[in-house]
Amino acid sequence: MDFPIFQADFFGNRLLIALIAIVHVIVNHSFAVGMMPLLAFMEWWAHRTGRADWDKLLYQILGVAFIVTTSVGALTGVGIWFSTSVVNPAAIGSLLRVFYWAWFSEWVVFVCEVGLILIYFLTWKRMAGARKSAHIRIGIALGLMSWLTMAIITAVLGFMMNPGSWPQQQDLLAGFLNPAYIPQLLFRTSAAMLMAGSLALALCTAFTRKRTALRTEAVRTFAGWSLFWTVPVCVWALVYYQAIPLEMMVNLPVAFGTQAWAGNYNLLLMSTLGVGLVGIVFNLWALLKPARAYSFVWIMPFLCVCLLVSQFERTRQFIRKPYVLAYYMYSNGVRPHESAYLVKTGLLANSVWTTTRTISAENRIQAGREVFLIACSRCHTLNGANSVTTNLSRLYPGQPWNPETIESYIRNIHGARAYMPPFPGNAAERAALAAYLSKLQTTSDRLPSNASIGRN
Amino acid sequence: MDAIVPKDVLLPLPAPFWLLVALLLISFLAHILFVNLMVGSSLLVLWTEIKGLKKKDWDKVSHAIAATITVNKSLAVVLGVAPLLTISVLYTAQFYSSSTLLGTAWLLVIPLVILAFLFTYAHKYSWDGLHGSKGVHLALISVACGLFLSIPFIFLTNINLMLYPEHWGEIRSFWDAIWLPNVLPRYFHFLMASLALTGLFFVYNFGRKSADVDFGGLKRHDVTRAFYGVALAATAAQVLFGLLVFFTLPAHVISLQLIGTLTLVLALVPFALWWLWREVRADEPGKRLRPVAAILTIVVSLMVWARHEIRETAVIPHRAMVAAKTLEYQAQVAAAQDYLLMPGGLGGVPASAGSLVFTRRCASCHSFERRLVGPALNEVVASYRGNPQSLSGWIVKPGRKRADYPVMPPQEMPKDELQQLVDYVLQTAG
Repeated sequence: MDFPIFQADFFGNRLLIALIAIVHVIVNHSFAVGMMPLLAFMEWWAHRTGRADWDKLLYQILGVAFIVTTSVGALTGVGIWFSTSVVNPAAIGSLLRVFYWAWFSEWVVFVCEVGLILIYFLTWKRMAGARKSAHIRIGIALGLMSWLTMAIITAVLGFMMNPGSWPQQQDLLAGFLNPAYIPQLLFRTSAAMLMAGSLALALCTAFTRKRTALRTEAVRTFAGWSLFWTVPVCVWALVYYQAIPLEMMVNLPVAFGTQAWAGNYNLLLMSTLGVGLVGIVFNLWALLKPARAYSFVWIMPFLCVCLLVSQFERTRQFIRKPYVLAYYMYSNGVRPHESAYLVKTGLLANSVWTTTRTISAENRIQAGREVFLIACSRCHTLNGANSVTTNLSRLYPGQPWNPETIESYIRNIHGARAYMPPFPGNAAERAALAAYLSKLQTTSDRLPSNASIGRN
Repeated sequence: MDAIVPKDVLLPLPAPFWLLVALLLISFLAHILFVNLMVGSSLLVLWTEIKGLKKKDWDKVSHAIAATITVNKSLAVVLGVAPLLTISVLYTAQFYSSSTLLGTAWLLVIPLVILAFLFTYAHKYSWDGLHGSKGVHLALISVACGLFLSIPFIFLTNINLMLYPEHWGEIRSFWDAIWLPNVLPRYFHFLMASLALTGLFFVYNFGRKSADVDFGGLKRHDVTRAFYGVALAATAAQVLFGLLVFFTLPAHVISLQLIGTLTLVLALVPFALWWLWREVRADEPGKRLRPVAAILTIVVSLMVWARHEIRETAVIPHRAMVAAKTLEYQAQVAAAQDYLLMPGGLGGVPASAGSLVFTRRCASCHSFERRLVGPALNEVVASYRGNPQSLSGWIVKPGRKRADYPVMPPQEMPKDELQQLVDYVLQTAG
């Protein structure tokens, strides 16, 4: 309503945010949060047992982690702000005001984290011998800082799904200590350890030669580490699952599999568990028969865990629908609190970036298009990902898209689909939207792919 | 054109205004210093490496500069998080409007920075490996420089556009926004600042007693003088670009305070220029680094303050309009809530419990008389007469009977609701 409309009309706004966020989670968890404690621990072990070959291997793995975290990792983190501010300014603007001090503290920790990883990596060779213990302590501090950044951000993620007592208290602490916080934090902590182990398993093959003792040891160690953390991952995943608000559980089939796959929820669940099992089997293989394989198979556990984490993240993102901020704001940026007023006075009348304020017979289709942009386009495209035309042809197979039928569907859309917010406009706007949508069956429209679509 | 006035986010600021402004300015100062070093160092690496093609020893200087970029560019990014956070909170209505208007161009910042960093790493870690093919090696840093030069341009365009809500309506793409007055002069002013700061930084860095540098046949003093020369030329150019920035400012953002701040800057800069000139000509340069650095620190802080004065003067009237509109909207929303809560506020006859459930859960797809998404209930219900159990069974776990209809999604609801619904449907169907 209040901001210009950015529309990635093919890719979809949601996929844009999801891709940046998933890459960030994978890099953050496996290259930083889990990797730094693993490296510091192994560095201590290599120092104690006097293993120079291990020390070198760990340095090489850290080199990869250093390059990836300080470029892709750091930037995709900021990228989540960039993409959400362009797609849904009202939502991220609200979230920043609730969590300003949390994010500010996270920034302080983040500065320390980056400072420490620079020191940890750039002084690895210099701080040898007597100064090795000090260097290991830098690694431990770095691990702690990485974990702290995640611990703070996890509170924000939990808040988006279940704000706990924040709606009544409206203070930061109430939002921070939301019901899903602790289970999610423990789940992510163990998952990060598991991911780092699998990643180290894949990376160690690049830095060791085949049929050497070092290779065998490294493969065994990292596979063992991953298997060890598999147990807490499963336990905390189940506890976290219990913390999902009951009314959001109805979204699970669609969240997990999209509309197209929602009917095959069980099959999809089995395949997901299957992917996890494949990861475990490869880890077991690495633990028991480390020498008997081509090196590239050791990348399998990492690929499996990345698939699982991506699936988890997209499910977590979807399950809180129709909200973008649970119980506070719908995905389209409208707050439940405002609905009554908007239904009374109209969405267009209260929007800044629109060319049409009043609807007449002549501008009906144009008005419908603008209603679509304001009310629907945060999640739906016309012809791309999650396209409204595909959904309409699924609802009315082989029939004309009748405007009255569509209108009556929209009137109760939040009842028909638990993940849809109620239509946030008046009757004339609903009719205009229905007229625009029904016209899409015979004529194709393309939304401008950049901002500045309508203005006053 | 009139200013476009959105509503603000409907939550209070998380801290007093002055505190947020202080955090914004301090964190921005730290951020921009490292951004200057990052951009300036990349350009100087390129320049010295090209110089090194003829005079081998300059290649060593170039390598020594390149070694510092890793740290500077990482700090530039992390230190940028706090000002980005704070400006988003303080100037939500303005900053998010301009960010969204730039859209794709604004989003491009992320992949461009990632690429710039990866090219910088590739260049740094292939110094020995690509010794034989300098062309390729130079190409790596040239690409990085190109990227580093484009990113601040996008930032500046956004930070400039947010100040002029009266122009928002004309902006159809990034390219419209760069032609607003002030963007290009500010950009060149920024580039000169980067070179000046970086020049001084390497005078310090290579001149330290503890500095572990060996430039072969090249004397340390020659290197120092060269970097002083860069700082001198860039500072002089900054004065020119600074004046250009001032004269392209729209009249309504110029205030007396701003003129005061800038006069102070103009009074201080000649001292820095004079000492820099003396250093370039000195036999043993390096002695006047401290006073030069002190003056320029004050100048940079004053410039950060001047930016803030311009921003505030531009935004104050718009902020007031936004606040008034937000307040009015909130009052109207509250009034609409009261209307709902009044007895009879919803209007109409009180509906039966079953019909309410029907409206909420079924009416989108089913009507009694005609096909919507699902079939007309009058047709369907015949087979459930006298058998409410099988109807509730179907509602909870639907199957598929009609091939030309989509499958009905299962409806989970409390038992009593389900009972009310089934009763209502069986009663109402004709």
